[in-house]
Amino acid sequence: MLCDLCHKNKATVHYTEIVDGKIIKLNMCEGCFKEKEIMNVPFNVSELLAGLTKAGHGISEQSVVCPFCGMKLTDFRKRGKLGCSECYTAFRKQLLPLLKTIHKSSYHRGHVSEKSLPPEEVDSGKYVQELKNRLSECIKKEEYETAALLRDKIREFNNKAKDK
Amino acid sequence: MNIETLHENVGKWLSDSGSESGTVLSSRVRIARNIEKNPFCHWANEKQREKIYQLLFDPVKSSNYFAGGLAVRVDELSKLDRLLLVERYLISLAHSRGMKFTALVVSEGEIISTMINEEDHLRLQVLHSGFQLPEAFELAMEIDKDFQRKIKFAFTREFGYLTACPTNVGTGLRASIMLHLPALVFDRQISSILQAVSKLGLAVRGTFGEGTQSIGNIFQISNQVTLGKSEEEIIVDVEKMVKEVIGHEHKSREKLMKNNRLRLEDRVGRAYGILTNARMLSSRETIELLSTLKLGIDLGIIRSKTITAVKINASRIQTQPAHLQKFEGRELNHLERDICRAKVIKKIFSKRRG
Repeated sequence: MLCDLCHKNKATVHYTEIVDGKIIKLNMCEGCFKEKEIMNVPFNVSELLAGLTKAGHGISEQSVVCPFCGMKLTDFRKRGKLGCSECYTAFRKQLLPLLKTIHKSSYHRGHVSEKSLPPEEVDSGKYVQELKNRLSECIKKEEYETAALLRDKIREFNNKAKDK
Repeated sequence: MNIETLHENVGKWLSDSGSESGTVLSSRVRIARNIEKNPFCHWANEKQREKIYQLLFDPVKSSNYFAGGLAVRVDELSKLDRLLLVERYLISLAHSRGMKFTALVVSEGEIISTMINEEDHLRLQVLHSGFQLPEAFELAMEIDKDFQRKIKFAFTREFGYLTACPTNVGTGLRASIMLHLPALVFDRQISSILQAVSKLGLAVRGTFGEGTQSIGNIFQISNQVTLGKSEEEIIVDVEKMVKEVIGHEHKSREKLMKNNRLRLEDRVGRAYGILTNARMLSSRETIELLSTLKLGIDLGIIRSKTITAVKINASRIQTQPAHLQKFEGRELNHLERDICRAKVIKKIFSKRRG
C-alpha cells in the first residue's frame, strides 16, 4: 500500500478518525506522518500518538522531546520518571490520561504557592480564561468527566475572588 | 549533633509521646519539591547535581529549624554511617547508595530532616511520636514556607508542585503512619483489614517502606493520591482510615484479654525472659519479642518502671546492624552481631530509667 499523501513510499502508519460522523482513513509513510505531526493538522496528533504507543509501534514517540532537558517520551515510558519541570509541558497530552489513572484527577487542588508561580501564571484571571477555553473544548468533544473537573476548578477560583 | 555519637541515642520521635502511642508508633509527613528548569536527579549529570546541591544545601542548613542539627554530604560518609542513617529513618535506601552530591540536613532531636538530590531535588520529612499527623503536617508546611522565602520551587497552577515521578505531583505530600497491630495479626484479621485499606486508595507497606515486608507486626499506612485533593483532605483521609484500623486493633486486644489472658501473659513473660537473658539474638527474633513485650505493656500485663515503651523503641533502632557495628567500633559478622544484639538489649533493659 502506498502513502495517501505522497503516493511514493510504502504506508506504515494507518490512521482513522471520525469527523462529524464521517470516517476518515489515512495511510501514510513515516516521512509524511512526521510532517503532518509537525503541522499538527488536520488531526489531533497526540491522540494518534497514544494509539500508536498502545499498538506498540512507538516510531512517533521518538519525536516528542522535552526541549529543555532532552528527555524523549520513550525515555519517560522506560524510566517512569520525568526529566525536569518542563517535561510536564512537553508531555502534557500524554501525561493527562496517566495522571487520571494514578490520581483519578489531573488538576492540582491544594495550596497555591504564589511565590513559586511562573510569571505567566501570576495573573489568575488569564488562567481562569484558559480553563474556560478548555472547558468549552471538552464539551465539544463530549469529555464530560474532564469538563466537570474544569467547572469545579473555575468555581473555586471565582469563590476565592469573591472572598477577597 | 555529631554523626560519630548518633548511635548512642535515638530520635525524639521515639519518645512514646502523643496520643494512641499504644498502637501508633509514629506520624510522618514528607513533601517533595524541585527547582524549575533543572533536570531531576536521575536525569542529571554530576555537574547538574552539584548545582542543585549548591542551590539548596546552604539555604536549608541555615534555616532556624535546623539550628544545632546535623548537615552532611551523604556521599562523603562511610558506607556504615550511611546505613546508620537509613536505620534511623533519616534517609532512604536509594539515598544511601553514595551518589555524588547527595546531602542530608537534620534537626536536633531528628524530628525534621531534609534530603537533597534524592529522587526529587528536595525532600522534607517531619516525624512525630504517636498519632500526631496534623501537628507533623503543620510543621512541614511552616518549614516549606520558610524554604520558599529563599528558594523558588517548580510549580504550576494546573499540576501543583512538579516532581520527578508523576505519582507525587500536585501536593508532593505523603502522610504515613506507622502502626503496631499485634492483636489483629494474632486474630488473623489483619489481611482482610489491610486489603480494605488498600481498596480505599491508601497504601499499606512494611516497616521500611515500599516493597518491604512487615516484621514485628508493624505496618505503614499512607496516602497514594497527591493530585486533585488538597493537603488538608489528604491528611484527614489518612487520619480517618488509621482511626478505623486502630479501633479494630483495640477490639481485638479486648477480645484477647478476655479469651486468652493466660496464654498472653505467658507469652509476654517469656518474651521478657528471652530478651533479657539470651546471649545471642537474631534481628527477626528480637523484633518479634519486642512486639510481644510492647503489647504486654500496653495491656497492663507488665507494670514496671524499668520495662518501658521508650526502651522498646530504642531497642528497635539500636539493635539494627549498623548501630551494632557502631557500638563495637568495627565490622561484625552475622554471629558477632547476634551476640552484640543480646548485649545491647541487656544493657538497655538494665538501665534504671527510660
